[in-house]
Amino acid sequence: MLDQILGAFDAAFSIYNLIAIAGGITLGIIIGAIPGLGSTTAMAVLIPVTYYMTPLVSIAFLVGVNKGGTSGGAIPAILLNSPGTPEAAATAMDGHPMAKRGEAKRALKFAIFSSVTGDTISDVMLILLVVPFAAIALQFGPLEYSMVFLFAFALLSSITGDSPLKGTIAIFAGVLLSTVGLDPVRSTQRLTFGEMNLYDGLPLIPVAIGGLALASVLSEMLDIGRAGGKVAFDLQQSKAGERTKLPAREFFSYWKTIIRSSLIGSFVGMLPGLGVTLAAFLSYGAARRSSPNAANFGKGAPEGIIATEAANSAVVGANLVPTIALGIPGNIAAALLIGALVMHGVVPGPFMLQMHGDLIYALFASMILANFVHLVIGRLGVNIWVHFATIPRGLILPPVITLCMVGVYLPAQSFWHIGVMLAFAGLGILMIRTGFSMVCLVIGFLLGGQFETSMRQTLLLYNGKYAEMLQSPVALLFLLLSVGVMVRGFMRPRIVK
Amino acid sequence: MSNVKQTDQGAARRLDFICGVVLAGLSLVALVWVIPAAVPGEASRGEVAPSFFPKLTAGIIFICSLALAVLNRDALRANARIGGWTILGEIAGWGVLATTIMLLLIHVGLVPASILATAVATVVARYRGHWGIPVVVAIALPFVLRFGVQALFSIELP
Repeated sequence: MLDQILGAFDAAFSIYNLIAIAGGITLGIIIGAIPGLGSTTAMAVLIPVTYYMTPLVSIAFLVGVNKGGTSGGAIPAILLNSPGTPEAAATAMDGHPMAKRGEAKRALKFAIFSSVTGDTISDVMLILLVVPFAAIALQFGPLEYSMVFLFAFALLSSITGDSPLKGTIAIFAGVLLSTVGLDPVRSTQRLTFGEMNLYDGLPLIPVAIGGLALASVLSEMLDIGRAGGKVAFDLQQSKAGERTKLPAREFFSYWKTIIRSSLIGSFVGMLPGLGVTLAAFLSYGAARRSSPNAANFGKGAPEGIIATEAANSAVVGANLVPTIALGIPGNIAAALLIGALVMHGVVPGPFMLQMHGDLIYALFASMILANFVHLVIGRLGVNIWVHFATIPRGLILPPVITLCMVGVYLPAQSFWHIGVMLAFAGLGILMIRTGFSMVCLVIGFLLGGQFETSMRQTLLLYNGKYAEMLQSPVALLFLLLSVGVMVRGFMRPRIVK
Repeated sequence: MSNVKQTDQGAARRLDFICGVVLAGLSLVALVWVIPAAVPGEASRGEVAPSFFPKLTAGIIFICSLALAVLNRDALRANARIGGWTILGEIAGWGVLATTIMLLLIHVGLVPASILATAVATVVARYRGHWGIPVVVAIALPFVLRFGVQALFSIELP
């Protein structure tokens, strides 16, 4: 065990790994700071580039992009009142008023310190919890797995999008798309229509990049165009004589908010489907309720920034708990990481710790290391990041189409992959406009193969003896949880965007 | 954007009704025609047929779509604009651009496909700054990427 941990730190401290982490964090902050892009787009576009890296370097790079992208969204939220990412919307509520009263740099420092602290706490929880979770998951049979998948789908459909029915449709559309290709048992063709390219099924990376990154960028461009190309900014920059210093003592005087928010973010991150945005707003609400200065919230209270940033960054590490232990992504960033792992021949799930233990421990070491790098880069670049936040979106978004095309072409050097990406971008725009969740479709597509295998094994094992299925307490628990979550989802008021 | 993003409850429910009807129709076609025609093989002894899972998922989509349509059926009477033509126009526009990009990419190469994509996207986003910058970006980007990919990964882009 000690050898493994020492070996992990040795691998994490390699020069290539350090460069990848620093590069990933820098790119993540820059892209996260540009409203309309964000860490998901950054990860989706950069995954194909990692094809030529070693598995550890590529995953460390993508984790760096995710960490940087999540915290980068706070920069335009504080300085421009225009959140770079949805989760940073809560940061703007107190960050921008603080910037307006001449404390822009202090607000940015509160954001970066909270982000790194929340991230570190969540990484520690990941390291402590992933092994026991995986050990439990190893006891699961196909029936238990089927029910865990069902629970993940129920949670995802009831939270994501504006209605659980639409979420369920999107998930099962993804599952249906995952059945294209050869049958896993008999190797007969399914829904290939004689097209050779479909024998291996639809490729994951082009589906994810087209449906998530390209579709959201295209949709954003159409929205900006419809608004006449105008984007209103209320830039608050540092002025001479303003308060810029943030002593560590002052930051840690909010230790209760830091710990509470990090735990909320970690808990939300561990549950499949609950996104970073929910963690940020839940934590903001909790901080406001328990603060003696509740009246200052929304007027530039540092606790508002701390609560949001610590919680949304805590999701990053914690969402790897279900990803590594069960092979079920906690959110879309984790789904993209699964895509990258699969591309490198590593299949996430409970066997991952047994088969690729060295890689996992090295990844944990890289994540801890990344937090220090994040602190240094984030702190030193405070004056630089603002320039990226103010680049006109009409200038920065169009080249993303070319970057996506090149990124998708690189791993397989196939025009087919570019075609699939462009087609799913069209589907993504349609889904955004009609209120269906593309995230649900992509996660359904990602987990569809494993869900089918578990279901078919279950049906063969029990061979029609359905009463015996109810004798598994774990399966029964997850079935009841799924039903409960769905019922609660149907009862919540409709959200109209 | 106001005519597309549904800020009105009635319009959103009307759009949901239409989506439910269309998806129920499509999933029914998949269930009775596409899957039986494109997934051969019957269930053998002690085995699940290859068509079982596609049919199961298509069936779930059909039931949920039907439920979506039924739950929103009263919204048909609402006189709200749903922006359906705008949505279809956007998809059709993207379809034309994507097809042109693919044709250029396959028959001519990345450079013209990239220039076209960047130029059209800049016009759509109604960029209001100095036009020299996007022109330089549109032309330089594919060449920089070509050179970079060749140097880093030894891959020749089309």
